[in-house]
Amino acid sequence: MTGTPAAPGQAPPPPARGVPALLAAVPFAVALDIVLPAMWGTQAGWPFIVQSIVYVVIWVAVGWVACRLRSDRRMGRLMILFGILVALNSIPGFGLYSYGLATVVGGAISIALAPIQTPFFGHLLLAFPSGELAGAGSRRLIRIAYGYALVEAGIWLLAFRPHPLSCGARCASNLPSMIGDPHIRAVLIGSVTLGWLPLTAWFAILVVRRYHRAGRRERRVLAVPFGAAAAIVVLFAGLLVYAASHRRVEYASSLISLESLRAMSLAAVPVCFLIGLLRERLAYARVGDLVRDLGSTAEPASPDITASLARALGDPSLVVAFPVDGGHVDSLGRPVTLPPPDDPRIITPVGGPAAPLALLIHDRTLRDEPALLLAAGSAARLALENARLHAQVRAQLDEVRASRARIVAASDQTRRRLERDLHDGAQQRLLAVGLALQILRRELPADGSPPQLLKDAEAEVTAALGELRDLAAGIHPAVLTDQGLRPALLALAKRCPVAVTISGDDPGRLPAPVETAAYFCASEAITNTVKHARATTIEVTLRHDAGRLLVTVADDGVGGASPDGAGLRGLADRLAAVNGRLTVQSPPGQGTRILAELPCA
Amino acid sequence: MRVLVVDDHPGFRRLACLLLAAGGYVVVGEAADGGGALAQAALLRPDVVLLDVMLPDLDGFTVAERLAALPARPVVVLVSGRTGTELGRRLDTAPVRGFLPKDQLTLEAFAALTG
Repeated sequence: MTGTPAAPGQAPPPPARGVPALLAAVPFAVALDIVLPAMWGTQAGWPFIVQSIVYVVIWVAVGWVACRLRSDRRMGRLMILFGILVALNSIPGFGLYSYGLATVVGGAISIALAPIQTPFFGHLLLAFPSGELAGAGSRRLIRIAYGYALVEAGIWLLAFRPHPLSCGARCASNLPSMIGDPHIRAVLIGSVTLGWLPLTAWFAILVVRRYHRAGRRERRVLAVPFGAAAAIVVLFAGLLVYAASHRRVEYASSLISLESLRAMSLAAVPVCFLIGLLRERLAYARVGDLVRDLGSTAEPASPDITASLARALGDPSLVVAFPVDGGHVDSLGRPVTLPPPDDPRIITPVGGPAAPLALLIHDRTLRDEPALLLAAGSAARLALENARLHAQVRAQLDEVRASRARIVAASDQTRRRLERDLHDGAQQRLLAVGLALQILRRELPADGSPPQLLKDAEAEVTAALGELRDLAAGIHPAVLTDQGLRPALLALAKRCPVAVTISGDDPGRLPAPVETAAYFCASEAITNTVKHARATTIEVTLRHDAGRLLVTVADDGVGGASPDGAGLRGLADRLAAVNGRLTVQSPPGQGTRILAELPCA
Repeated sequence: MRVLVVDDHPGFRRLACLLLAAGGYVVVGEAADGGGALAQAALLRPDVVLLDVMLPDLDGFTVAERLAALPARPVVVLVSGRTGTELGRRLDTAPVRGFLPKDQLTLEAFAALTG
């Protein structure tokens, strides 16, 4: 047990910076989308512009929500940035009626930025839901894709010509294209567009592999966004092939169809991202259920803890492993093999990493939610510790019971040996003395009466033998060892000065500890009655059924015996040593009834 | 009357032999255990065997049963430091002439059983 507070998983990563600045930039980007067409007029029409702005707003809104959902804000920051990028990239598609230098330069910048959208989008998907690219493969792909996007941007800038409709004849003086031949332009742009195909395939492989390797919990978070991504990859690949084969990418206006298709598909993605993030977020709400679950069980059983934790963390594969000597066991005591380092499941210790109370073996994605792990771990820690303490106390109690039974058994053994020693030693010698006295008596003259001294000696030997027999029987009656409980009680009854009747079943032979405990219980009760109760009759009843023995000792004496007195307390202890139980009924004036109940299965 | 005395306690056995001898019995042999008792009985063919119940190897009841199977079946008188109650039901079915608690072993009682 450690005194340190639970610290499962790693510390939460610091929140990504720059989110407020990005949010502040959003109105400017959107304003640009409104002001420019308002100033110079648009060929694409206002519905298209509004549609573009709606996409921007969706991305930014979902990004903002993602910042609220995940404390590290990395995913949210990427989404807001993407929204701004979409706002800027929409401008060339508006088909502005202007030939001003500002428009041309602005358009050029927008066109240069447009290819960035593709790797950025891939970046978003591969980084979902943490906002960080996991794995060298995805980092390499995204780096290459950004590089390729720069190449594409350069080629587009070289081949750029404003749409003829947007400036007509006036365009001749505007930032002329470096490449005059329309065929070369078409081939160039067509091939650079087709270059995305292998990258898209690589991306698809990464996505499929990531999903394949994901644990159950991770898949639940990934399913919707990755499903959308798959649809978009297919759409985008189709679009690329179509655009390249029809040489429709030559003019900026052809970007309209490309951009609008892209934007349309992209509009669905933030919603899918949101669904994924919300599914992830739902797990936090379950910590409340966990606390309630654990609080409602009086004696928390470990399997319940595992189930509750699995529910709370949204990870059905979760296993709680308790450290034991030479390994780990689960809550049912079965051995657990800890997952290897490259396994999709990872380990979080609860209760200090040095001497953990328990290990949670769970889905890798939970590491991205240290707050959730911390909350669930803290909530469960008390219950886990409780369960462990319960198990410990139970084990100790078992040990105490076993040791008590061993002590009593050893004591019984000693008494049996003592009785045997008395019988074989002192008694035999006294009996021999008795025989010697008989021989002496015979050797006296037949006519004379034996001397008084001889008579005294004979009387002393007889008395000594009697006392010795009583002593031996009190220590441990031989008849109990040889013949069992009922004959021993009958022998006891014969020696008792008060009338004792023995009735009920003859249980036959029972385990020695049970016989001995039952015998001494009855014997002690009878002795008490004789001493204190002023009774005239004592009735001992034996009942033996369903694996237990009931011994009742009832008298017609004065009653009023206290179960807390030393005598009855000792009886209760003696019975408890064999898991038995003592009940005492002793109302004043109405006799005493003592019931001993002993399991003897 | 020829008697075989069987008891594992040497002091008691010696005095029992002396008592019987004083009473005019011929003590033909002594044994300290069941095995010895059976061997001696087969060899010496005593009329009476004074037999202790508690013996280190076989108990007196078993010895009595085997003695009863001998061709020259001797009369058996069981003795014990225990009382008849303590010995229980086996005493009722044992093939013996009678039982004497050791503190009641007198020449008169022995004669009454064997005579």
